[in-house]
Amino acid sequence: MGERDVRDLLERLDLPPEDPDFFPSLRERLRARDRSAARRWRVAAVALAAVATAAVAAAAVVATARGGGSVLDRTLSCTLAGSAVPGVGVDAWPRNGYADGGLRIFAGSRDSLLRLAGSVPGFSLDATRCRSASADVSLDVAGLDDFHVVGLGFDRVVARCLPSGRVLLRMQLGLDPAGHPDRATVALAGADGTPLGLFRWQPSLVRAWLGPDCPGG
Amino acid sequence: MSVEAARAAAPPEADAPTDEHERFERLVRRHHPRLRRVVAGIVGDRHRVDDVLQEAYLKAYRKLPRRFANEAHEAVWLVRVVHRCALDELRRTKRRREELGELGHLRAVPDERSARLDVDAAFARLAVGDRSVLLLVDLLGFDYEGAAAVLRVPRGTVASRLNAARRRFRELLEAGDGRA
Repeated sequence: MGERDVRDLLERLDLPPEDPDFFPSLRERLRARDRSAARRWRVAAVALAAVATAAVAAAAVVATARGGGSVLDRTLSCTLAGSAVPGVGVDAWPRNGYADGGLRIFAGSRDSLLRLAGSVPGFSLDATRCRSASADVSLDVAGLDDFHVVGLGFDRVVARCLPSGRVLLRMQLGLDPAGHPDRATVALAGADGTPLGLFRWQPSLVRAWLGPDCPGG
Repeated sequence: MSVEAARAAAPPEADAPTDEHERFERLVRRHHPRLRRVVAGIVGDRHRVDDVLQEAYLKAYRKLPRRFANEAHEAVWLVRVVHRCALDELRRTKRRREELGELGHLRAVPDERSARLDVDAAFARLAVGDRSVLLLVDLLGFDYEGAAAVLRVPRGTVASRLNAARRRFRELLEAGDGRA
């Protein structure tokens, strides 16, 4: 039995007539879903405002006119305590045909400190592990000689940096007018400010500069 | 506990049709007729097809990528979501539908030809993995890579599973009533 024969048979499988209200009903459910999402957004906005107010001395939230989007620049100090696997991991990937690009910074093997994806508005930050910091973390690549780049496809940048106790994390996040991340620069440094790695993420391109305490590729 | 950071822009008015809704509906309509056949073929209960598809589309909307590399990737992505939802539905109802005779789409209606019943019965007796690969490759026309991406199995598994599924389908049809 060949492909065409099977297709002919499958076309004969019984199929009920389509409900004429299918798409009107779907539209209504999508609207209801958006209303629910809007309510959640308002709650999240209040939470963010509280965090931003507390962190105003250390974190800069800079609105720009670039295409109506905005840039968020924050420096955080995150504890790595309590993780069975030492260090802080980085996983960054560009989009491919099946999934959107994203970036994740995590303590140990799985506890996300920072997570963002091109298809999801905003970002996710573990406020139980990270707090705003006033340290000066450079976004420069000086001293970070191990360079990696990943373009569209199925590759990703994976690294594990090995600071002790805490890691300083500075993120400069660009958001499009709909709030989706469209670029991010994340610098990791040890508690004493020693640069560990720098990651520049865009939906279609990931570049990483790694120092000797941040092996990966 | 994580804090979801807010979007830079205010959310769209929820009651108005949005560009995203329209984009999504256009995408869905491109594939909807064939996806109905996929869901019917997997779930088996013709009365559940539209409900399963609605749930699948809502899930797909939540995960809608901003763009696709091409139309083939779009199809693979949407079929994968729908296929997964159909499998979930099948698992939920499996205990209630162990008996072949309970499969809704096997119910004969007076004016249906016995040939159709034979095809439906034979197809329903295939394992869900066999049904999936036949629907993806032979009905939707996916290549092995696309089917492998939907099923999350290696390409070689698709090829071997397809051959076996065609053979079993033929054997069931040759048995005459799908009860081989």
